[in-house]
Amino acid sequence: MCDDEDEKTPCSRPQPPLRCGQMLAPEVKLDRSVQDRIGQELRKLYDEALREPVPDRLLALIDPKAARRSLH
Amino acid sequence: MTLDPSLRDEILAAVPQLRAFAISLTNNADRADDLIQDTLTRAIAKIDRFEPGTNLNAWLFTILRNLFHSEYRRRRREVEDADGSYAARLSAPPEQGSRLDFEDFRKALARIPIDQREALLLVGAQGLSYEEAAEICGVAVGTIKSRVNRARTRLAALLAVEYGEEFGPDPTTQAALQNTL
Repeated sequence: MCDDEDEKTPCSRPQPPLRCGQMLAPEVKLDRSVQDRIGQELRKLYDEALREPVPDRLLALIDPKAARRSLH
Repeated sequence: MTLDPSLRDEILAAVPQLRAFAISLTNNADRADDLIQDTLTRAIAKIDRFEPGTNLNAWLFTILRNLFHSEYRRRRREVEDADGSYAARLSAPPEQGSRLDFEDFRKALARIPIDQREALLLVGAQGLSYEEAAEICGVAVGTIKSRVNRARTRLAALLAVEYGEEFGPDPTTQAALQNTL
């Protein structure tokens, strides 16, 4: 673990794996075709969000030049 | 703080993915952008906590996820895009022709518990491994697998109401779902 652990800004160093602390209820296993269908719809929704232009105010936080470039 | 140029470029490249995750998680583009702004501000301010050579994307996703949960705890309620303002703002409408309506899927996703939704988005949409998602969420790998499975099961059950057998569970699964919904 990192020293001075900050809840919202963790150290990027990999942490030791956690273990399940309790028994989980039996899982329901979906049919493969249903899983695939959900995966397709999920990626479609995600891709829509990915295609949206990133607002300049966000780019400017990292690189003001990048924000200006996106205007052209 | 001045960022190392290569690190700055890596962060810039990660922004669209962070934003897609935030939008899908919150179901609200304005709230997602505020979350991204807080994430980037914090990441830049705390860049000394990032160790070069480790996974920058995972580190940024962890910050975003922690900020989201911090805000969520403050609000004590899930903010949904009940009026569909996000869907209306999409720059390009989704492809037509699919039997499943895009808006119905978006609404169903917003109805599943947040811990399950984030696990499903990280693994099923962002394409992270179960191990990476577990590290970001601070839980065991088995917990992530369970959350992803429960998320899919819940989505299937919610969509089965609208779309019948396409998402409808078999009789055994249906019986088990009686206890989960």
